[in-house]
Amino acid sequence: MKNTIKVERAKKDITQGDLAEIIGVSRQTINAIEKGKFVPSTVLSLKMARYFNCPVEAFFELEDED
Amino acid sequence: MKLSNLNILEVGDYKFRRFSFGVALVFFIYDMLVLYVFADSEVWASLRVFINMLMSASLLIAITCKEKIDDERTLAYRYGAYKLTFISGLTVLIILTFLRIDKGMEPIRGMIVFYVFNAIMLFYFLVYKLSMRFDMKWVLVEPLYSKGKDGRTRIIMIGFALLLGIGLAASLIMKILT
Repeated sequence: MKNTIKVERAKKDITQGDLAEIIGVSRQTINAIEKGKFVPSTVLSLKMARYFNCPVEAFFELEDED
Repeated sequence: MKLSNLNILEVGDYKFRRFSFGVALVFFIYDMLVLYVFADSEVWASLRVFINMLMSASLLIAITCKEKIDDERTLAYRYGAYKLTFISGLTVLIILTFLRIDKGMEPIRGMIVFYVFNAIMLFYFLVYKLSMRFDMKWVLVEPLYSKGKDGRTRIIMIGFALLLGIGLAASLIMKILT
């Protein structure tokens, strides 16, 4: 699964640390999600969607092997 | 398994971790002193079981402490490390038992129990920390987090443990029969 969280973050002009604090996780978790090394739960994805004010599909996309 | 249910696996605040490891280290040094320096003293030696018990308790507290920021990723890795440690620990115990029986040694008991228990706890902590540090996805057990060939590792490990168990059982039966 690929994602465009980094792009969404850039649009809002916030750092990984800022986003982490807003949705209540560690900066390392945001980093792992952005790099595709960790797939977040539905709750966490929806929290991000609420913050970015867009649906989850806007920044998460399934790949062929998923 | 819900990730929120895993909160039960945490006991202490992250601040206790270093302190608990420090206490465990002091007990370990004491144990080594008794073993190699004061080996002749019965008074010192009699305290070894008690000291090892405290060392195990300190280690247990240290490894179950929360992270500074505990989130679903830490919980997922923690659960993955627990599962991997359980499978590996079981495998090692079976191998140790098999080897000791094969060489005509006593079964695992006495002070060795503490050493094995402590080693398993340290192994868990190492797996947990390293998997977190290097994002080792194969440690994670949720199907969502592992795809492709990652799931095979677990199957191989479980298969290996089962084979060893069967081997041990066969060895025991052979020994009884002869």
